[in-house]
Amino acid sequence: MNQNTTLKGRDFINLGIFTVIFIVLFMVCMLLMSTTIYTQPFGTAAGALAAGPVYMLLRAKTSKPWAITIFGVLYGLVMFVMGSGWPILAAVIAGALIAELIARSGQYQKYGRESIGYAILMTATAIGSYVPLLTMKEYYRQLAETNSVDNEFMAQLVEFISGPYLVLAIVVTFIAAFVGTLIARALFKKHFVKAGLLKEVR
Amino acid sequence: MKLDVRCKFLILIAISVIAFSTKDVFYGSLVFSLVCLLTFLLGQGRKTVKYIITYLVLVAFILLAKHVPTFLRGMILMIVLCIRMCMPIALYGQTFMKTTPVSEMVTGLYALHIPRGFVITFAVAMRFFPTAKEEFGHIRDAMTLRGINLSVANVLRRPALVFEGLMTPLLVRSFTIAEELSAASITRGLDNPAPRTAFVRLHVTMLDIAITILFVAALFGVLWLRENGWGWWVD
Repeated sequence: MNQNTTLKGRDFINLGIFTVIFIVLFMVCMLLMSTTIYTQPFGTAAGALAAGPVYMLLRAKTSKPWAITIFGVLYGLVMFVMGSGWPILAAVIAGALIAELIARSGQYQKYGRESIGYAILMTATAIGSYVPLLTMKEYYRQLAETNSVDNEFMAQLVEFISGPYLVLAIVVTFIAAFVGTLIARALFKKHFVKAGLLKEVR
Repeated sequence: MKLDVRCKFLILIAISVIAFSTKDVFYGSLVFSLVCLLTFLLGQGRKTVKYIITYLVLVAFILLAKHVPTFLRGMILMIVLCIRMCMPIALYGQTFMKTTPVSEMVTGLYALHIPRGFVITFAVAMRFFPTAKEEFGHIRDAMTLRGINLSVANVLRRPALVFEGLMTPLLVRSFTIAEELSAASITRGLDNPAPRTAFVRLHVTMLDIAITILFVAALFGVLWLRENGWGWWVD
């Protein structure tokens, strides 16, 4: 087997470090967005936008088979342990596998395919994190009933949030993730290539 | 009290599953009090007390929510729900990190036959959280010095500049740290294919097993009660 196609200690260390930064940035964005119920569905979109450069730098550093899968499993496990439930774990791992396949079709060398893979991974995250939101609908309804004030308003709000709004949020996540990789590209060209950290941006 | 690291992992999984499916105040509080009991037994009394106080404040919020205007109430309840859901796991996670040295955790993971790649990645990730915090502090200081401090006004007025000023040093620093860390660990034989030997010896005692089984059973008991009801006490 070729020297450059197996993951080694160095790659695992890169994966560990960049996954942490990715998760921290992502979580901060999610927390900021979930302060109001109207912006909460867009948390993943904001996270995908902000953390895009981290992911793309990780991909540039470890452009080998299975790196995306390991990233996906680790990221999904952390999200799972944080209390988002099993849907997100399943969705993230599925998304990571799809991203892996797309990146593989370009021999892990094509920037465009990597960004599409990232967008799909983030979309999967978004879908995984909205499944609990739909179960939360029940919780809200119950809460509104027990508090017995303004049932109407609550019901309307919940209906609105759980319908087309979520679809919109998923589409926005896809676009935001893609834009994030474009920003990453600009950032790499402006700083990283100049500093000699990356050889060239493909 | 000490608990074997493998039992801790099992309990972690149990808590994540159960806490996700018990969102209502009553059963959520039951789960939370179980976790509090465990972390107290593990010797994290002060942290547990802090969490209990925070939790009581949150529950008070929920009870007082009636007297707040409707729009605001939705918002507050949403935030409270998010925090309240995360609390059992956050408490247990912090206790886990405090009471388990990384070397013990790595040995435990190897003993569970987790693939090497995952163990190394996981261990590095765990060790890197405090470093990331420190680096972030340095970057924030430097940004303030250059007049692009992380204030709401700045983020709204020139988001691109703030983003660039935050991301570039963060990425470059982690890049360098990754390089240094790989050099250091490869010289210490990270890529050595031979089976890993460990200084830490792990033993699962009967007490560990008993506590784990009791605790996991109690957690699932809460879930069972939630599904099937108490019949005579709570409707």
